[in-house]
Amino acid sequence: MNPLVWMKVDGKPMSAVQAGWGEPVITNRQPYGCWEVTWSVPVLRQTRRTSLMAGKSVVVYAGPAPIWSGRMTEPNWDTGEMVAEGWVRQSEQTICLDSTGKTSSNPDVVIAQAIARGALKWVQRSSFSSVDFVPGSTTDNLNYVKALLDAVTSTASLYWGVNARQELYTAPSNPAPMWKAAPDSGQMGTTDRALVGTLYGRYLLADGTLQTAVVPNPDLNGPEVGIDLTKLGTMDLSKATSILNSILSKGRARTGWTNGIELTSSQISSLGGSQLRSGAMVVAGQGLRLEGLRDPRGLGSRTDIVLAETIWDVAQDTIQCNPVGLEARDLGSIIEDEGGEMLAFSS
Amino acid sequence: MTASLKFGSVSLLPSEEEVEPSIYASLEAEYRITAAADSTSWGNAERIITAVRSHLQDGSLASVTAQDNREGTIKVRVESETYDGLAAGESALMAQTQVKGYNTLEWTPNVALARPTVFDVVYSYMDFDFDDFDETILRRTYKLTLALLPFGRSKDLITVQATSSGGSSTAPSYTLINDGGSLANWSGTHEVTQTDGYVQSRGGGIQVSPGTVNAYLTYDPSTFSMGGQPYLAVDYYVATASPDGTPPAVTVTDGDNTAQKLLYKAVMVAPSDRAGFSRAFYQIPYANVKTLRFEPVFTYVGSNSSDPYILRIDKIQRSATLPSIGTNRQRARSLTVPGSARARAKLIITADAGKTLGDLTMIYTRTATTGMQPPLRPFLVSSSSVTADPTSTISGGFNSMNSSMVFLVPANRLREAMFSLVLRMSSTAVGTAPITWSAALVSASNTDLPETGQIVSGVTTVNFPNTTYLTAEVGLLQLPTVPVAPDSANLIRLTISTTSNTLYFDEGWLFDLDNGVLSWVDSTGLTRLEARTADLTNPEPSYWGGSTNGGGETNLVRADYRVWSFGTHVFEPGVVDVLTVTSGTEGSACQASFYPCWHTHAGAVAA
Repeated sequence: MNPLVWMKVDGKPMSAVQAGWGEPVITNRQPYGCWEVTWSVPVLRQTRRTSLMAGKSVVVYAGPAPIWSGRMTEPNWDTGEMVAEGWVRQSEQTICLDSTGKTSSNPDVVIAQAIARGALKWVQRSSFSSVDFVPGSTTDNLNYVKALLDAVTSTASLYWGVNARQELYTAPSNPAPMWKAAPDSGQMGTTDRALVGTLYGRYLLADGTLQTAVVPNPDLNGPEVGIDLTKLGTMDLSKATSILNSILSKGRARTGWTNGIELTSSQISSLGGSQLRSGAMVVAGQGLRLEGLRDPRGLGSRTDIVLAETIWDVAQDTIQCNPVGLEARDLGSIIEDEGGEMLAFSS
Repeated sequence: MTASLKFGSVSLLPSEEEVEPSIYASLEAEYRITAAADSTSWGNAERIITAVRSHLQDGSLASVTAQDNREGTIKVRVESETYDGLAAGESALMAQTQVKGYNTLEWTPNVALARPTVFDVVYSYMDFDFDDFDETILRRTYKLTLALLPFGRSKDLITVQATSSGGSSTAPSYTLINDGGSLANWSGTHEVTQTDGYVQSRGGGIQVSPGTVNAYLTYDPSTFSMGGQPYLAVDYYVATASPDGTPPAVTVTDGDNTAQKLLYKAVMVAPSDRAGFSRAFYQIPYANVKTLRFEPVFTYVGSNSSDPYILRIDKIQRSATLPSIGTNRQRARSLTVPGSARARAKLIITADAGKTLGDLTMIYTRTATTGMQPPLRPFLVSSSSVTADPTSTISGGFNSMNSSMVFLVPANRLREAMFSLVLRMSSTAVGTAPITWSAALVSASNTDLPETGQIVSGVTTVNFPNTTYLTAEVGLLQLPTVPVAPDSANLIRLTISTTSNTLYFDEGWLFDLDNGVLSWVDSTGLTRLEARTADLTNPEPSYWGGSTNGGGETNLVRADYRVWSFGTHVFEPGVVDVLTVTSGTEGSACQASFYPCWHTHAGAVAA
């Protein structure tokens, strides 16, 4: 057992709840922050631990520092596998409302109200955005908080998430590298399936007429891509342009990656050269420099990626690093990306 | 030669001791059990080897991370006058394999001359092979197989005190003996020079094979008095192929009897006021001293044979007391673990009579090193003015956090590791405050270098629910930001600031979490805290707290729910550094209780 990493479930250390629990696998994503943790306990025939029930809070620590927090989902007592999901997942099931019960598209109002009525167990340290996303704030449809925050950050080059201290945060989408991986740590395959050249966005003006915003990609002559922004409500040209710029900055302007790479802590050091001995500090949202690996997308002699997903298997000491711009390779996702849907039986 | 081998309560070798009556004694059965040397072995621990990915051009890196159970086998022969007696002997052995809990195997090679070694049995079973000839002569042979914990242990539990090197809570005053400003009275076995306020002994790197080199530096003035002060304080700097900066030992010649000289090792190392140097303290029993010969030992391993070996002495002073790190609520101690293998121990802290441990107890252990101790206040160089407060602070004083605080830590004292920054602060107003921290490498005179651009930084919001002192973890830092050579004088500049103007700072810590273990417990109301490593009966590390009741007993209760940092403390043989912080009591006793562990044979343990 790694003596550094331990967990509290329902406020109690895991070893006090159930002896012999197994190593956690910690997943973080950018956006969204703490995403999932899985761990295993011995299969118990006759007993159930009351702390290991859906909804109980889970915090993973490295020494005194929290590195992941969330709550349990339904435990699987047949296999002893426990799963917890990050607090950010609550936003998938929380409606955007203001204090009077009307729908709202003002992020600060929506978040404060959701926290006040207990639907979100987040801590809001600073303003997310006090601007009504839809003019007039109220929306025709009911929306989930996650969809609203995704839409708001799409107009700025930002990611959002909920971190290990349960704090809501926003972070720039293109940070400078923080870590570097030793040479020969992995190979990155590329695909130009998601390459975009000039973006054309169709949007709805306040007076109901349709307009097109154009954002050329200065880096290369690529395919022209049309995007429908009318679902986001009425907007002006500057908002439409900033949404298109945000799409470019989030990796769509370049060829995408086909794979992530798996590293051990002995292959990762800080940019200054200080070697890591555990994966506790490598989380999604940070930049990783792959030394000695020519950037296959262009002329760079090394490749900088931004981590979209990190999966740290504590027992194996491996960190799966999936970069931003990782292209979907399974048929269902590809079809969905194109706006279609896999056919299912319907009479 | 009479040896003794006991499996639980059954003796497997005939001896003068009476065999414990078995439960079958009512049958008046008599049997004799003899273990045979052939086919008997204690097995050996299984090594768990973990590979490390590396870029070594030849060879590969791996380390032994743990040892797994050993398998012992013992061939035993049961003999008797009657067949019922044979069955009774078999039953006695069988009973031992089914003992509730965990059994022990105790081996003493020679009852009169050797000490017993105990192996803990995880599980055991026995097998029987039929032999028709043996049946006719009333003899049966069994094979006992035992899964044993990897290391043997001593039979008796021992308790080792962690002795504190902290002295009084006021800084000592020093009297200068030599300021390193000239070569007068200095000599040495290698090239001796004087520059920049220090005297230096230096040897070129011509060592071609691994080994040790002695490079003596001698200070030999006319006899001087220690003025009734027992401590010699020497500001030194060593560059050596083994990068932990161990202070030199010193041979001191008695001024009143120059034939008398003894070698002393440093009792304590503290920061020096000269950047890059450390201050070593030696306890000297003589009233007058003639000669001081500093004897650093430079150890060359592997292929680092071209590094020069250098000892510099900046000044020599004497003092009446040792410095401590703040008040005695915070004490740096060390304990010696006897044995030759890692032991499973209980680390116990008890408060002084009439006091409780307070709301904060932290225990930080690591294998002894002269790397930096976690407390930060000794390294504070810039802050608002400090107000002394020996009664309610850990460090002995507090300062406002209105101006940002700057700490300068020698970079070569930080092993490449993940550090946790923990601060103890108070606020005059209830509410939250953001704490901003950043660390960067700077030169020995705190000027920027190109490497200073490699910054590690963060902001954490701390909630102050009331106006009493609060200890908060504020971030994880990978340090040093840029690794330095062992002889580097560069510093890590750690800056801590806040936009709040209501905060006060008592003490901060940088805990190296890769090379040490931190336990942090809310010990409100407790007078005794035990941190126990996992053992057979309790296979998880655990914390136990006790509060003295009217009868003076401590009711130990599981205290895991009070824990803010869970640590599995490691007790490897040798010296273990223990830093204890107890906010409620100035005096505290710290000890470890365990069975010394050995590879296979228990050895002598110093009383």
